[in-house]
Amino acid sequence: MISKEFIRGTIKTIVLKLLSENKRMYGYEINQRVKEISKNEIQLTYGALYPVLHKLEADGYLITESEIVENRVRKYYSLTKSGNEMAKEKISELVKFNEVLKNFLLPLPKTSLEVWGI
Amino acid sequence: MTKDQIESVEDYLNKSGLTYEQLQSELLDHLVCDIEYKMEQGNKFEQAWEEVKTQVPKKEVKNIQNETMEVLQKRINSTKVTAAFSAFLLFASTGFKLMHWPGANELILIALFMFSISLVMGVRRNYRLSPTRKGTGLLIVVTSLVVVFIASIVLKIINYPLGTEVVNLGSVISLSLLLPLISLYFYKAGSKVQDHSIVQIIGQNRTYIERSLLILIGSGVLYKILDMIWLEGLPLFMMPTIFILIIVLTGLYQFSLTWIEYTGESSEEDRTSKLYLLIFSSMAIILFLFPTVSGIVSPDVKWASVTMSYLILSGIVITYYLKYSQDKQRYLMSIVGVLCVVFIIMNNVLRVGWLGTDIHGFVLGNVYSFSVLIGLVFVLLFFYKKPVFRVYMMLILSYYMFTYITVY
Repeated sequence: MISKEFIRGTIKTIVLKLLSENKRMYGYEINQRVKEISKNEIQLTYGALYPVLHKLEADGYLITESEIVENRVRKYYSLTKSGNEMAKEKISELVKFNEVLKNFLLPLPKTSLEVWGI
Repeated sequence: MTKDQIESVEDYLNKSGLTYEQLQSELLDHLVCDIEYKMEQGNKFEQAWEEVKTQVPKKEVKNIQNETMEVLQKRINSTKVTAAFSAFLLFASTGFKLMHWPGANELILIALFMFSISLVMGVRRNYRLSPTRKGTGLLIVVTSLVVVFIASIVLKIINYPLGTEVVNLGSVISLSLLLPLISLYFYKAGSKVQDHSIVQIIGQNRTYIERSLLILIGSGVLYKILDMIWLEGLPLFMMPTIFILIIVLTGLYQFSLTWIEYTGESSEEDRTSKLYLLIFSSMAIILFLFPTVSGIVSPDVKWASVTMSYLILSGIVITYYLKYSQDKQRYLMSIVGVLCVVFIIMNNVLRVGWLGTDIHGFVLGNVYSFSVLIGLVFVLLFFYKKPVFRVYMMLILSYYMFTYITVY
């Protein structure tokens, strides 16, 4: 399982990415999708998602609509126009970060002298 | 799932102290989805619910709410900008005074004006975010009274001739009557009114309120130090009134914290101790506000009144640490509390002059004054992580300033 430390920095982007691919989603659904796609590697603690969702909403990146489903209210989130742009930006940032990280994790290339065996 | 089953889940969320409505319905849906998923796999409701419950203990529910409120409040908003600007003006005025530039007093006036605006904006904003919006009328009344009170102090500073006394008298009397009555109401209603908007707003904004008060106190301390070091002999026209403002706002805040106390869950035994808290804190706040009425009573009566109120407050804090607190440092804090009582009494004895004019002069002199100030600031910083004691020390620091009001 991926440690919380890494999830904390990327959860916002993950949420934006999921919402950019789905017209609207509710909290539980997002949670399940994250689990599914990450093959259980990313397990959000209960409710860890909601502070992020509320912040994105307050910043104007998400709008919500509520519907009554089987005796209870279900709140759906979808991206606003600025949310869409934010999603693109954050996703490309994360892709870039991923690339940079890869370079760090590769074994360091040997300097020329070492290659020559000196 | 049946309606009853859903209601039992909702009840659980309510009992865990989840008050933010937006989050409440969402978490309910989340929990119900989880339970339904487990039921689809062949579990009975009770079993499924128990399993889900272990993943979200009540504490966790409260955590989610706190985290959500935190991220929502962390955003920069106009309230914070206004508040920060008024703090900036307050300190700028110190600079002006120091450089002997004109306009220091006007800066303080503008700062107070901005401060009142930020107060109203903050309350409005929080009210909008608040889930229940219970007690709107009371919230408006209390906020306006505090603003009128600040205004009356401003009027006093600029020596505005018309009606200042009336506004001052009116706001003090209404606050003295209303505040104990609100306490009585919260005491009677108990945990039923946990979601009252006043309690919510104070509870959720403690950090911000205390920060603002600390900035105010800081500016007072700064003035006092400047006065001792650089401005000797130069009268600080409005400092006494600013000090009064600091003292009263800190006092009002400490008093309002008791409301949170009354509305918390409590046992029979707690109720008795809360009744004592109600009686003593009400006495203290009346004695405390009373001297801010200008011109009716003699300075000696004012002194006696304020001193009594601080002694009662010290008594409450010391009793709390000796009797109710489980804090490891409770005895240490009680001792510091007793020292503060000694400090308060000493100040009075010396002021009356029972110990001779030499000592009287020493107390009003810079050496004593400066050492006490440093000592108080040190104690405040040392116990900064203890919420009750922190506020108490803020209050004692403001009392320190009170000592100098009558000197000028």
